[in-house]
Amino acid sequence: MVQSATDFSGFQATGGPTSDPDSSAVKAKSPRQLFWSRLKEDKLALAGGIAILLMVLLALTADIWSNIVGHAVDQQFRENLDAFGIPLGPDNANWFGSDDLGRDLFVRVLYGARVSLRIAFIATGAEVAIGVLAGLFSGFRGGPIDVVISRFMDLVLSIPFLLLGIALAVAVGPSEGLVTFILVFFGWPYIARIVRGQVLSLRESQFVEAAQSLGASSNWIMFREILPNLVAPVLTYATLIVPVNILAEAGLSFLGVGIQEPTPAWGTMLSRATGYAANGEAWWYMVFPGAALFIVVLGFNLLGDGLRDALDPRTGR
Amino acid sequence: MSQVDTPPEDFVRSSKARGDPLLSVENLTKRFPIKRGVVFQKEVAAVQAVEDVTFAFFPGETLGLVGESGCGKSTTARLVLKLIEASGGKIMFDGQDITNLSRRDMRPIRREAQMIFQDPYASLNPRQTVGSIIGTPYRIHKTEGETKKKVQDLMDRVGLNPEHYNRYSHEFSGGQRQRIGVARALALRPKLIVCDEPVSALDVSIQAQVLNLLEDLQEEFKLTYLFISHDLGVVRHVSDRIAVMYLGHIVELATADELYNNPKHPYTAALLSAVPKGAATAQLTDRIVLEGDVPSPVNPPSGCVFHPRCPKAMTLTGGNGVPDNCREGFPPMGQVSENHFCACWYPLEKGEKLHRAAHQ
Repeated sequence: MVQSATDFSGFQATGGPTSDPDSSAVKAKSPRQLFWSRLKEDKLALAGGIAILLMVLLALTADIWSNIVGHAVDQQFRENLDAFGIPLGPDNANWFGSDDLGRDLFVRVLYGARVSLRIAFIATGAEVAIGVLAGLFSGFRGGPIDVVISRFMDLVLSIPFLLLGIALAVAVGPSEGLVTFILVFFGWPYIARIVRGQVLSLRESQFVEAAQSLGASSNWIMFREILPNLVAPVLTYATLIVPVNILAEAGLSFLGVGIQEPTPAWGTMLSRATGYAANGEAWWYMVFPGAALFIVVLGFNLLGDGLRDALDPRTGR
Repeated sequence: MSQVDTPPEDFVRSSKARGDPLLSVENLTKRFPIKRGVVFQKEVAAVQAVEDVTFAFFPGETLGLVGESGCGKSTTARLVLKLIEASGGKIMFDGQDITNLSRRDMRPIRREAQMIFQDPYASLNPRQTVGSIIGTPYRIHKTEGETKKKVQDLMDRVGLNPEHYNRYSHEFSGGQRQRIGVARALALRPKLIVCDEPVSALDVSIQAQVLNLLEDLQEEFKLTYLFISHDLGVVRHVSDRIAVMYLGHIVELATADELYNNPKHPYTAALLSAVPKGAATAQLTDRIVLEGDVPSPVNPPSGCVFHPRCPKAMTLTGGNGVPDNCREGFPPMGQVSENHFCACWYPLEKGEKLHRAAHQ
């Protein structure tokens, strides 16, 4: 959101430079109002947002659903498996069918949403916090601080994500905390780079110079003048890295180095489903966790694109 | 301003005996290094933005600073307020040497010396409301009293509607935005305001209103202005004294009327002849057309930086190039009359015409 002299022509208060009486008649929209009115027109982004809201709601009410269907998340039912130990498909009792241990797949997908969304949100939040701070200091201070932070980011980005993830999981044992740490460790440089680029252009702007001429400290300029101008790009990018984090967590879990049984996770479910999906024996085992993953990821991507368009001043305010 | 009642006639060289200057600079120099190299950067050259500039101005007066784009006007403004560090020279503000003050030590000075910026669009934070922008100086300096009340009084004073306190800057026109910038500069009741082309980005009709506002405020708050512009008409209108810059040097310094009526430096004469005079009285033959481009400040000419383009120097030897002293040494600032200084080996005589020479 670099300051732009081009896009406000339609919203100038009226006429003369002195305090004109009728200027209050022309009610200019605040940036927030503009953002909402534009987002509301973007049907795809709205659909994405609704999908996310629904999934969050389902995740939060997983306990209630579990009570309604009467199946606990780890409860194994012998009657859900046929004579050969193959899980049975969807029916009135098990809406999504059951998994290879005879557990209710519907309940497990809901609890899986909890785990996936929790890890993705926490990881994204930490990435944003670290990335914004690192990018802000790197871009604003420049010099040796910038060199150290930038080279460290290059270093992190040159480490193979999967290999280190697997190695760490083997070394210290897989856990939810470790998955979150790995996601954050590899995710923050992307945000830091974007923020650094924005700060490099913002710190040369005249309103920063004006703040300097008023005697503002570096912290004032960084956090009071520059940071508010970073909200839009950071918000947009954060929305787009949530699905990346969900997929990465699912990937680690799929490989067996993420979330471990019996904790339900979509990646783990997909991994176990592969053994039953080969001949179409238990299609539901792969389809339902996969669909949940797909809907959430697609929802975040659609919402992220919508946010970017609605927050970008160049798309015509 | 240019009223006759208080003629401020002090110059840096004649001032020492008389009143104390509010701000003076001596031999101010700024060189921006040009660096090459990927890892190990070494300085290969320097842009000589401001060279050996000396001037002073006194409480209540307006000193105009004119020159074409890239001559170092804005750099001088930023040097004076220590927004960039000088490479050499000395800056005195209100009797205090501020040349080497740290950022922290500069903070009390910042209350006294403010700046109005050229671009009313870029100089206001697009994410802040007007109230927040004008209130920033109060919050930075933690002044007592209710900020909102003070901000609204200021808005009223500069001709903005105080009810627009919560609006964003993009909801205002260019002229109104510049009033916001004026209010922000005025907030801490400074003694000095550096105006860096404050009206250049505005419509001509709005320019006059903002200039009149600046004049009114100067009277009311006893302000001193350093007024930078490339618009000679505007500068003449507001300034008591005018300094003319060319390629980082001040080449002439005089009271406004003296400078316009009796320019001594050939560059000043050429600059003044370029002012459009209106169709009815236009005499194109009076126009001094300088040949060539402004030389690069990375590699300025030897001697007088103006000599390769100087129409007077070319006539002196009858078409055989420029005189040796023009090429060899930068002319010292010489006193022409009490209120008139000029850095030229061969200053113009009163009424001397140069236009013939320019076409040789």
